[in-house]
Amino acid sequence: MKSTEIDFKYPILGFCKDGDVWGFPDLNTLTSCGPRTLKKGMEDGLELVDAKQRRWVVRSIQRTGRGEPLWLWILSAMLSTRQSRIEQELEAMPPIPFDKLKERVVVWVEANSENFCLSDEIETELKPLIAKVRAAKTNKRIFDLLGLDSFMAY
Amino acid sequence: MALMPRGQPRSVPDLAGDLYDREMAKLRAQRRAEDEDYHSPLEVVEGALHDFQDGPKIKRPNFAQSMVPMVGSGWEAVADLQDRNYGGAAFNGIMAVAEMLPVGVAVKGLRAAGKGIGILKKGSVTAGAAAKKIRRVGLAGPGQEIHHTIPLRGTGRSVQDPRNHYALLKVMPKADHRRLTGKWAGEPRFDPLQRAWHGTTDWMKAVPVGVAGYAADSWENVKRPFDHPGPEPVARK
Repeated sequence: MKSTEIDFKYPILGFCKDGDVWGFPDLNTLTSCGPRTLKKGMEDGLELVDAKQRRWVVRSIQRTGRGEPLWLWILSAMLSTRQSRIEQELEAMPPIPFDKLKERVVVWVEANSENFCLSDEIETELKPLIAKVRAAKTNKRIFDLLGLDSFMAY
Repeated sequence: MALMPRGQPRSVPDLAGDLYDREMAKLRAQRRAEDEDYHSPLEVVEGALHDFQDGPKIKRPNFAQSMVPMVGSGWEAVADLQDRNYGGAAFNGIMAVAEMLPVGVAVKGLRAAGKGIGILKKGSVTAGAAAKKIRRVGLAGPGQEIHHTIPLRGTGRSVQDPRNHYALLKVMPKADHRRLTGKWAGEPRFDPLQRAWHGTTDWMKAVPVGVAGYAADSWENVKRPFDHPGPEPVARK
């Protein structure tokens, strides 16, 4: 099934095969990406988990056009990352328990601590952040706590 | 056997000592000659400058050549130096540097752009998301930290904030980063000048210098008197 055909409950959390975690607050973000995402196949095998803990895996991506108006696309090409509109071909998977989802997030945060704190702030910044992630009750809370990025920058 | 009178000096032939004295005298003479030829580095530079100024004259750049960034100003600076116009040489030298700085910034910018790092960040504009991208493309390695040129001042790393755009971030060694705000590893905090230098990106330093350079250049062009026209052409009969 296509990503545009599913009635997702946002935000969606994405888990790459390499363990990297992504976040998509809306359909526009989910179906937008930069040139590297397509070139390097960054979304291949990406697991998507929506706010109802329903789960899909990305089997393929198709570029359907520009992801922004022409003037903005030109501006983005000069100053930022030009956007493509994409459509993912998804395969449904069994839902994931929320606690398991949180543990996958925590593993990723611990492995990428330099993105969340300085090396001497593990006790004061990272550990409280991880505790908050473990205490989270919703996808949105995790998304807000970590400020998760999407493929729009890649 | 003859006995020498006690308590009186006596001369003894010393062949090795005479040889030694002759060698030492030769060495002293050689050193004296070297000392007379010795010139301090400053004297060497001064001599080279005089030779340059008294040597064949460098042709000044024409209008088109003088418009080439760095080359025009640098060329004029050298020609001014040869004409003993030290003020002009200094001015044109500074102009050449001012023209060169944006080139350096552009080269770095293009390198980053080639890795997908532009001026503004798309998607999530949090410190964590920006750091993730910068590290992922290899622009920040182990032992390096990402400095916010406009301090976050307590704003969390997961908060969407325009201060997290790439143009306002600088990758720097951990020690330099820490010394912007305090002592680190026994080294004192940077002084205000060092903080301004290390704590700003290249474009932040180059833009004011470039703007000032071009303004000074324009001002000099406005002030420069127009060339006098040559003699009237003779009308044909």
